[in-house]
Amino acid sequence: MSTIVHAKPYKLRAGALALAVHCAFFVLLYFGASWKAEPPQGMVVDIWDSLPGIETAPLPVKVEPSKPPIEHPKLNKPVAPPKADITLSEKKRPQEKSKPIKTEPKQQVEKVNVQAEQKRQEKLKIQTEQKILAEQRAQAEQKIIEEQKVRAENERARAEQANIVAKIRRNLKAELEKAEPSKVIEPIKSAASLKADFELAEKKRLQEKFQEAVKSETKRQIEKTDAQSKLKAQAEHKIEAEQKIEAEQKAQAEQRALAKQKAQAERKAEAERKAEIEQKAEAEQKAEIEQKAEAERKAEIEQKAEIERKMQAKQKALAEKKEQAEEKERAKQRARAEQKLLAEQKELAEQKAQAEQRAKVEQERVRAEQKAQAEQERMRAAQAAAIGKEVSEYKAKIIAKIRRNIVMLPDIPYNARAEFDVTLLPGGMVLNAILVKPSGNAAYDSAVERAIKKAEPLPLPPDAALFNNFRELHLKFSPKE
Amino acid sequence: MDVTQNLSFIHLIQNASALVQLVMGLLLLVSLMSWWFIFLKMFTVRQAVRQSEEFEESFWNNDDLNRLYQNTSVMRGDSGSMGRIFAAGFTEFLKLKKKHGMDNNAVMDGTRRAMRATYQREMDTLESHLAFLATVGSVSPYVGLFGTVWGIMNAFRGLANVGQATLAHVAPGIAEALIATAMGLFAAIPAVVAYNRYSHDITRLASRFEIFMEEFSNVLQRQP
Repeated sequence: MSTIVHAKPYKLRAGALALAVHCAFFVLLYFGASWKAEPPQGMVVDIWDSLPGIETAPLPVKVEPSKPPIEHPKLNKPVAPPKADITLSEKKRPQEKSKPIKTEPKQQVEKVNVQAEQKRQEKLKIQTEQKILAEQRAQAEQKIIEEQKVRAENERARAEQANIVAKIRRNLKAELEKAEPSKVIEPIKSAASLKADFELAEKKRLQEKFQEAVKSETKRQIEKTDAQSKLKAQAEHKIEAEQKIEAEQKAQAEQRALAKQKAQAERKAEAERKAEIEQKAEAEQKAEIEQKAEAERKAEIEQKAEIERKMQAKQKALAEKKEQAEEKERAKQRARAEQKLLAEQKELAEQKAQAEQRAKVEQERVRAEQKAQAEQERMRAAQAAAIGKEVSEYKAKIIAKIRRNIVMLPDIPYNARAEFDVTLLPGGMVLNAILVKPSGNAAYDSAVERAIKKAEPLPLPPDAALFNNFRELHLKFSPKE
Repeated sequence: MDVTQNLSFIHLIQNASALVQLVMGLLLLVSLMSWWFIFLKMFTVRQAVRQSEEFEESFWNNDDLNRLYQNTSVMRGDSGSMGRIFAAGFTEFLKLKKKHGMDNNAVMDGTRRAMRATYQREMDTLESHLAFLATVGSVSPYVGLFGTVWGIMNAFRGLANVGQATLAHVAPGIAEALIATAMGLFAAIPAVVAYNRYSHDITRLASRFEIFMEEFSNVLQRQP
């Protein structure tokens, strides 16, 4: 509690300092951000500040004449002054105040000049405008005149058209009046005359056609008669020619018949000769074929006989071979049987020998094992003895080491006796040291306990297999020893 | 000008999403607390070192333990941790000595136990809040990172709704998200430094107390 009480002033101070640190941090951040955000703005201002200051000082007169023409429009047009000029003018007021007297007269003179020029320009402008107006008027008048002309022409054309139309109408009416009687029945006289005219014209046309037809018929008849005469002449010529041709054909046919008869006769004679010759040839051929067939039969018979002989010989040879082979096989079988008998006898003999050998080996083994067991037993006994020796040795060592670490106090009874159950870990570390029988003197008990802890690591045999003997130890301590 | 103004620190914090603002607020709180503890520990540790030095000097220069005991018990508050350990041990020693038939070892054990108890209490008060500093140092960057990831996630989600994606759409979102990481680092770095510094100082103090306890028990054991 006291610490907390004394920490209170520190708490307040620490809180104030923490707040201060954060405030400082935020201020730094804010200014850092704004410092980064500002430069473009500042740069613009700097440029405007620096440049005119340098230029106006050496060149005040040269710079300013260029300004009035810029400023005079302002007088005429006070609506749009650029913002940059205001800033400039504001900043240059002190500079300009020092030099207003020199600049004013020049400005006035220039103003007058400029005004005169402006007036001239205005006059010029008015003149030009008047000229333009006059030209426009002239053009307008010309246009009007032209339009009037066009209108007159149009009227004339219309009048002409009207005249033409009227004429056409009149003509049309006249024509209609002329033409109407054919269609309409009102004026009968004119119709009758027209009918008469039509009939006359038709009659004339028919007569002309009739005459023309008569003329053409006469012409055709004349032409037909001419053609008939020509045809008759041609027919006569044809008949004559046909007769001639028939006569020639008859003569030719007769000649052909004669030739045919002769040829037939010759063919018959030749056929007879050929038949005779063929008969002779056939007879000769038959005789030759018969001879050949006989010879072939004889040869076949001889061949068959030879083949039979050969077959018999072969069969005999095969039978002999077979007999020989059978005899050989029998001999082989006999030999095999004999060999088998021999082999079996041998195997039996070998088996017997092996069995005997095995029995011997086994007997030997048994003997050897018995010997080995005996030796092992001896060894075990020896080892157990050695282990017992080692265990007792190391127990003594452990006790000695612990006793070395006991800090003896002066007022401990001589016959005090403390017993401990100590559990060890591999490596000699002490897991537990439990006081089983207290000595009656707590100081001695605690001294022994401390000594057990101090004596770590306790000495253990190097053979790890022996550790089981040391896992739990029952140790007795007394100041006598 | 508008863009740079919008990117200013306060604007960014104001425009951040609610979760990111929450994370930033948490980090600010944690940072404030960690700085508070840093200063608190700085003062207390410095005071403890100074007081123990003073006490050790007076202990070794003073032969009469009783007078020293009276001095320390009178000005108990300012004697420091070492003085309190001494006072506890000596009180116990005197009490045990008054009891007749007590073993000298038992008396010494009692004294040792009393001193150890006081030592543990002192160590506990000295080490208080150090765990907080360690936690801040290890966790707050992750908290800040979480805020940043969340902010960037939102920025990209906003980007998905815009047809034509430009850097101008993402940049403010990422900037405001990154503030969370900056705050996390701002909270974490001093906390880690302070933790290492104070844990080292307190270990040295502890070893000093233990040495004193051993020496003082030796002195007591020599007492008649």
